[in-house]
Amino acid sequence: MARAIKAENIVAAGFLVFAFTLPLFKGAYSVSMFAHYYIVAILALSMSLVWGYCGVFSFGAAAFYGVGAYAYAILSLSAGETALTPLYMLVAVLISTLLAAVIGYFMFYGGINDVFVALITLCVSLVLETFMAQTAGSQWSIAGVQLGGYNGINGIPTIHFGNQAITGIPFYYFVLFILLAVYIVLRMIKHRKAGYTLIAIRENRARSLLFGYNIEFIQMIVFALGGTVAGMAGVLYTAWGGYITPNSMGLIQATIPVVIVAAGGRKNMTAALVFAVIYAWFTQTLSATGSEYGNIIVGVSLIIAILFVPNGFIVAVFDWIDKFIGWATGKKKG
Amino acid sequence: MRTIKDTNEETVLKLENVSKNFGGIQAVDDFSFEVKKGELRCLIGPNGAGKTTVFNLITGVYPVSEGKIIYKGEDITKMPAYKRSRNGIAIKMQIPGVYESLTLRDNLKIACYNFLTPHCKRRELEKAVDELIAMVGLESLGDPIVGNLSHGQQQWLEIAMTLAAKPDLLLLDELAAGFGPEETAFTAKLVKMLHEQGLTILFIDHDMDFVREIAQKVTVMHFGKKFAEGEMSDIEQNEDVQTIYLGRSQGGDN
Repeated sequence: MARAIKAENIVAAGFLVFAFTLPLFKGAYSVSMFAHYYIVAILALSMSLVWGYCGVFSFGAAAFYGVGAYAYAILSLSAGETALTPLYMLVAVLISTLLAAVIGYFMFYGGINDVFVALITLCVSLVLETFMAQTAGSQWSIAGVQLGGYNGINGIPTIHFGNQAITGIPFYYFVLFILLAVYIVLRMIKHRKAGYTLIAIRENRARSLLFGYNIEFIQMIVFALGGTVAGMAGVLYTAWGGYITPNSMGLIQATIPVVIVAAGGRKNMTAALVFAVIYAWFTQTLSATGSEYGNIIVGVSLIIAILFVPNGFIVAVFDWIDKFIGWATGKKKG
Repeated sequence: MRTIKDTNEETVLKLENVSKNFGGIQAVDDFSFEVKKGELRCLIGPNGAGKTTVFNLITGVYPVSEGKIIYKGEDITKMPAYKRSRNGIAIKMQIPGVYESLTLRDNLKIACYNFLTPHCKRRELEKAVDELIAMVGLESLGDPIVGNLSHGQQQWLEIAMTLAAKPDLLLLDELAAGFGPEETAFTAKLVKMLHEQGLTILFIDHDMDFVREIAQKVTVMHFGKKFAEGEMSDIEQNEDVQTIYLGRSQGGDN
């Protein structure tokens, strides 16, 4: 049976072409900003994995994003060896993974689920933010790096390959590569045992247990992997901007990925990715013109999505295109 | 996948003085019973007698408060539910436990995945799904979203999903609930066929005609305790059982 061409695949292919050729027709500033949008998309994919696929509604992405970011900042500034930045990156991602695994272990093996996971993870993010925000005094330093309280840490080096600093277009492709790697892996598992396992847990935990699925363990692993992806986004953000502040773990940062994934389409990776890039581009464009309407627009779009397209905007668009293709090809045959 | 080896143990399942209390409520009270290999046993009793709780203790959804559960000669009292399932204890739940937002085939794939050889080919999986669909006679449906199916179709789908585990002990909780006479007859036929294939089956039901049709041995529960046990014909004649359960007044003959 030949598989129909799906709107999702068309959009994914279109995005791929757009993303790879962007540096050819856009200036350095746009390229750099798009690298940032892709970082937001990586964070959204973390959310899509944990919540969209496995049904664990968590605000933890911000915490793991922030921990990854701070870990990379402290490691790269204290050692001062820029050639080792890829290693620091890996270590920082590992730290956020471990933190997620530990939190996940206590939550899931403790029988905590659903809205209580959301509450706990939101608290973790906010506690970390509050803690980092009060580290302004000179006594707050780790390995000689001042944590800097609300102002955060500045002057963090970007990622280096050897002596070569990765900035501009190479950095853009580096982020794009990681985004696509995460995206492809997550899409690949969808039609395999791993994907079915996550969906089974999302749809009905009690029943899946009696089909032999080790629910707590799988939830913990997925939560930890969500920590990996979110931590990666945090590291990349730090390397991109050269600074990190406690805001990265605050309320807005914790809710934005949830809103993006909910409004775009939480059960669809492509929708989460595309909507994240559109959202990030849109808010950036708005704030560049001097207004702070970005969050309001996101809030309104979430309300509209919940009321009218509960499966998400982008998923709704995919469905429309699919219907149109079906109609057009059916007409041709008839 | 299975950690408990197949032995020639005659007794597939044995509950030894099992109790379960929820706070102050004694749902199951010092309950002991055995199910032999290849047996088709029915558990009956009035509402609230603790039948479904016994099932939940056997599958491991609830831990026991006291007592022991022996499966194929091995103590599984502390074994987590997912491992019991992987060792061949399968249950068809009272309320259809299907994944309503997924398609028929996806439901069956989820049910199959833990019971196939690791890294099995996609084709083997599809074949296993085809066989299960054929077994319960749902071939004509295609691959719809399961939430749109009728109650009876969902029940049969779940039976097929339960059989995907290739179980050694099959627990059926009110299989015929909500079925019309024709559907009940088909279900009875299906259960008999599985029994003839040598499967050990333990089931709960309220429909006495259905029970009479398929069960050989019956265990009666009342207030969490074992009230009576024996052949179906004897149990039906037992006046105490009639009083508590079958709804006939003592001495009455209609």
